[in-house]
Amino acid sequence: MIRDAVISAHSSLGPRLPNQTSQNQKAKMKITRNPPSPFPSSPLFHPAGAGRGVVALGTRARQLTRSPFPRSSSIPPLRTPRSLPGPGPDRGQGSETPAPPRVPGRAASVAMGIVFTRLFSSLFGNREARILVLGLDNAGKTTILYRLQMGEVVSTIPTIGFNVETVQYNNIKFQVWDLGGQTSIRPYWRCYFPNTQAIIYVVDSSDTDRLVTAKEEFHAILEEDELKGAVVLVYANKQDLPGALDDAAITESLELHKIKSRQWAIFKTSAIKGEGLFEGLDWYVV
Amino acid sequence: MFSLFYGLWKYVFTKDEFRVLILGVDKAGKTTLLEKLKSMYLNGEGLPPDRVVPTVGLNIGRIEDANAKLVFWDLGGQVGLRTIWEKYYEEAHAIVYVIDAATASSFEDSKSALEKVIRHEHLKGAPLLIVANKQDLPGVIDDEELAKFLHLKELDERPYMFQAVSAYNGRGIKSGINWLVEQMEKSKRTETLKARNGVAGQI
Repeated sequence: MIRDAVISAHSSLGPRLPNQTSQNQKAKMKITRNPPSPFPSSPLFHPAGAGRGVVALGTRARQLTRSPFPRSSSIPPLRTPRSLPGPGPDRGQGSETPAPPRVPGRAASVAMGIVFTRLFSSLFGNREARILVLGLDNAGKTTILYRLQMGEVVSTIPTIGFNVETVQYNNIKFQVWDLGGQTSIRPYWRCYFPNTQAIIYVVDSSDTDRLVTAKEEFHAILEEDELKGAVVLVYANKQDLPGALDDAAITESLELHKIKSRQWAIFKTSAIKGEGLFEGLDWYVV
Repeated sequence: MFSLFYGLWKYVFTKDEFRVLILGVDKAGKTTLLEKLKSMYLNGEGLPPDRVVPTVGLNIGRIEDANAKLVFWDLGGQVGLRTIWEKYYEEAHAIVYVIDAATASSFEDSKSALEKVIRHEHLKGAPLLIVANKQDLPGVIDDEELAKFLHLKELDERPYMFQAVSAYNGRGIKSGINWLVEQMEKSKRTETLKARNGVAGQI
């Protein structure tokens, strides 16, 4: 069982960088920043493409991915001149309007990139998986991320934005995204939904007052179209605390039994003690 | 016109979808059975038995038989997890109950859990396939002996069958599934479920 973790990327968004690790710990890690965002003025660059493109093609592929803005965002999507209001023969016939002009060369090169990526990863036997770590604030998402990745407990501050790390485990490269869980930034979760293979939903098992909120957020996520194919892992975290509910009780309060069209599993975890975290990944791997 | 033909096409070629629950106590071999089913019906997609880990939650397998689509729900069998079984009863067409026939010490637990399952009103009339699993191991008892041992009452109102199976090498699985599909096709429960889904679909 290989539990070595390889750090490959650490990125954050927004001006308030969630500095999860103290300086000396950071010095131990080899951190390479992501290449500069293709949307320098935008606070949200689109993460969806990041998992797909690799090596030299990575930056290119990311530039070509679609609109980075959440549906609820007030920023209008990019428009081609043809769809701007003005005199035109087919104005008003919504279904008849021609699609925006495509650039076949670009599309082909993206497809090429994908093909080569697939070929590359199949040759070297490395599977990749994109995992989102979600949950209410203070559930322990960031602690779990760094426990998985470095094997140690780091002191964290509330995440504004996200942390992303690559965790190599059993021949699979997990790209793990830890998204901030505070109420105000939960709407941004959906920007990260495309191309996700698995969701780790973290629950603070000792925070019984907010289990109802946790349940509602959880089921809202499951209804998202873009996450239809993702498997669901629930981490009943903070099992080291007195009064923490066990897995059966969390199953009950999150109403996990309502999930009928996808696989799910629940694990008792303690990020502080490092228990249960890799069992969850084991389940995903098999 | 198109929709007429499409409807006819669908009527002729659409297979019924049946949902089957795989239940049983822990270490009975439910997930191994599910993975074996996947590899038998889906050409080698299932996991080898040595890589199966205890289920805490739900595993799903979709397979297609000659006449039907089957969706298997494999639920964890540990004591704490058995409370969620009943949440899935209402929508299930049939049950596969897996028993480790090589471990006599598990029989009592298996029997009481099974009795609870068949007494549940949401499972009224659901066909029941009782699997005497692990036939590849030495000291195993076969399906008839298991039936005698369990000595179940209250089984008469539903179609049921005991089947000797090895989820490890696949023995007995095909005939068990064939029986199950046949029973589900003529089961009254299938009609009721279909009617209920139809009503739900219209709303």
